[in-house]
Amino acid sequence: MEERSLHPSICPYCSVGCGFYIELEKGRPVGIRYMPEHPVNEGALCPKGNAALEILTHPERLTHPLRKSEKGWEKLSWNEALDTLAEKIREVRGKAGPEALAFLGSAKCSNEENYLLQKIARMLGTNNVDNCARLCHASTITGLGKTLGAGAMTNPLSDLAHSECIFVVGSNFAENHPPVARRVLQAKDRGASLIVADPRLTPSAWLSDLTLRLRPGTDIALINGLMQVILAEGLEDRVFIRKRTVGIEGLEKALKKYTPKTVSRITGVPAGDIIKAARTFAKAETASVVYSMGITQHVSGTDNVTACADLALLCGHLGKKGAGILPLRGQNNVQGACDMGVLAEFFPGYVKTDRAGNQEWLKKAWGLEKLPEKKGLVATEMVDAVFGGSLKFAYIMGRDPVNSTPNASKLKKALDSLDFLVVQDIFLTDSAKHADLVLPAAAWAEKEGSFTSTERRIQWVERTLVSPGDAKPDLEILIELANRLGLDATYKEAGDVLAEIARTVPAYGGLSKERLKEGCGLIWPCPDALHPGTPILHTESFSTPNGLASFVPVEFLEPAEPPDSDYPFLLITGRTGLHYNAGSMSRRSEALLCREPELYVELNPADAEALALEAGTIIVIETRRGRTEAKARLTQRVDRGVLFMPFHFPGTNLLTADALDRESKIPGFKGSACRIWRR
Amino acid sequence: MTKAVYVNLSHCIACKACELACEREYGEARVRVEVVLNGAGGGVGVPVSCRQCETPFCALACPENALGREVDGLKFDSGLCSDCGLCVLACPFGAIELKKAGGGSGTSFLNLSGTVVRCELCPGKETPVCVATCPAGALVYTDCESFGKNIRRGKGKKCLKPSPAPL
Repeated sequence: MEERSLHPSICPYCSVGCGFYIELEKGRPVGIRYMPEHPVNEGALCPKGNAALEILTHPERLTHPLRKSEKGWEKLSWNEALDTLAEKIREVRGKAGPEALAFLGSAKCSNEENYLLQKIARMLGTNNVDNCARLCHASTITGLGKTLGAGAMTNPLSDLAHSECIFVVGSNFAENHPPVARRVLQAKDRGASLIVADPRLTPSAWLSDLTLRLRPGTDIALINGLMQVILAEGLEDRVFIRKRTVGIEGLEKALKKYTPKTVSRITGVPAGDIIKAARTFAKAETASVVYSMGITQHVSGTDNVTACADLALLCGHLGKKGAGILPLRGQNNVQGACDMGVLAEFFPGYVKTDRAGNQEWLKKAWGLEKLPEKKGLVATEMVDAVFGGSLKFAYIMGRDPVNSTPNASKLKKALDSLDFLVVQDIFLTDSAKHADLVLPAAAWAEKEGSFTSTERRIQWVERTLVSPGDAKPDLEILIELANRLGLDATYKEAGDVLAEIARTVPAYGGLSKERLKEGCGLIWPCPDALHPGTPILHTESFSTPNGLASFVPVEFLEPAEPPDSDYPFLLITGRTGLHYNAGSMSRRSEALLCREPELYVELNPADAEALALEAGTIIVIETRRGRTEAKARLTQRVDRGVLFMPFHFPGTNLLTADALDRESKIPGFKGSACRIWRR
Repeated sequence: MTKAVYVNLSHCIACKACELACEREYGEARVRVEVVLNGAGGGVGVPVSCRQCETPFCALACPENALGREVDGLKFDSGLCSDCGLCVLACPFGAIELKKAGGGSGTSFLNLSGTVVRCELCPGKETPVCVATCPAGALVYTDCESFGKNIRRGKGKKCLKPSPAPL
């Protein structure tokens, strides 16, 4: 028997935070062993998790710092690379001021790395810091923030098994967060009802007891309609509303016009189904609202999320086991990156950057005289700032905006217009190709640090392997850069940074490397060293100044870019089970790629017939921003007039719209008017 | 009773984690998820692998004795195989595919290069990897009696109201 050892780890793909063991032989990852004792996934792993090791040993891993020159990419030593970078930062800052710098953190990097990145940015004098949450759940922070006081999932995933009714809107959990299906099915085995509202009939909808196929972008009308029925039939939780909320009067008034008949006309959902869904949700002893990017990625993203919160509040489905709001976040550490303040409007722990006096605490903690006082540019605003000439330098850590940002052609032009772009990643991504300097980073299992999952569970990942070539953990790179910039980063290891986070972010106050390494992590808020963590939020009071939640009525507005005679189809985008986000990892994973090898577009067979298109035809899809080609899949999954494309392949985001939600600045990815023809 | 991998079809989300797990362990997948759609946008995933029959119909049907049951499992002699496909027809679970050499991953079974590629329930592991990895809990490793009993109990539990909290 050869020498094999098992090392616990956490999946690097989505935000569920599944545990498994990496099997090593002579320092090489040779297998995966499941971890049935893990409280989140009970050993299970989705296809991506099963293929996670393929990334580590991929031949295209970056192994040396690279500089772009006329002769192509030139290898550099770390000293040369970091000296160049520090020099460039000093130069731009000296000439154009700190506001000319931008730092993009990574929802794939650890809390410690993200914390240090934003600290460097702010010590240099800018709040131009952001992470990819801007593209996926920025509207969760704003929408749940103004209603419940905290923009995070209220209950752990395992709680779903204890819901009597689960209302899923704009989330294809069966493909995008498969272990969530386990909990949903456990609830159904206990007799729970599952209601799935989605324009597309996804594998999640296959599991449902009631499917509400709404027209894309009409979520607010639907949810308002549910609440109108609940109020009209007196099914609301009067005691909960009286004791724990404010603002019901405004909501009642605003909802009057959302009768089932009106809502049915707007959404296309039969009135009877609206009434049935409303009754099932309201009458359940415990019910949960699950949503994801089908809710958040709209120009009405904040309002969509707010409507979800109103619905749960109306029925008192919050603050107890089996009852809550569960926004399923995207990446393995997107929650953590936000918690760490890698957001233009928040310091660590969601302290608003532009509120007078808010800097004092952080100045003290960091031993500084000065901190930037105004809100920085969010990722989606940075593009225009480049064209306006005010933004000259960008540092992108573990992120591929070329494939993940809407209106990608415009973004590429912006990247090329920068004075200097540095990209730190594990592969030469499509974004890295635009960089002046590329820094090779360690992948997840090659470094240590903490990661916060969608259910606010902070877990420690151990360093199990060595990185290929000269690739280094992001934290080491940032520490060395900080020291070159004279920012005095004295951390010896990730545990030291976590200790500083614990002193700075109250919800993380009780964390230490040692505590996290004991078990399967802790769920924030965990304010002190003896605190066991807080799996369920809002049990006694909400995270608002007066402890009460607020009803905030929201109105349905017609989608920003409705189809017209020039662009008669509506394109929606989303994910598939076998790929992940911008695809820089999953498209390099042979086991995943062979099962889902190329970009496709789903269209209804009736539409295909009208245009004489067959299954497999390569069709051209064009919006006001760009065009791309994809293979046609004819399916009843999408309704007539609607097209669906996954965004894991280059091309999709050349089409999507970059109009922003006014509060959260999330782009309205879902809903671009388009036209199609045979290539 | 022999244990085998059973499927709760109402739970399969067609994610193909089982295929990927099996492929990682054995180089080619011995389970395959067939996605069946109903033409109205609904669908179901059907994971299929060898059901470990005590009396394998596939072997009984083989006119050339190319396929036979021996003490340590099914044996296949490609030299005798006439490519007639009766084993495919005989398997009540649709678990057999005839495959040319190097034909990629499939359901299970007969590789015409001369090997039986079939689920052997992951010898040496407590639970087959397809079952351990199934995110939806759709695959179950058990004997058929227990599987039936679990279905009965599951249906019963659905009818039960949750017991009231103790005062």
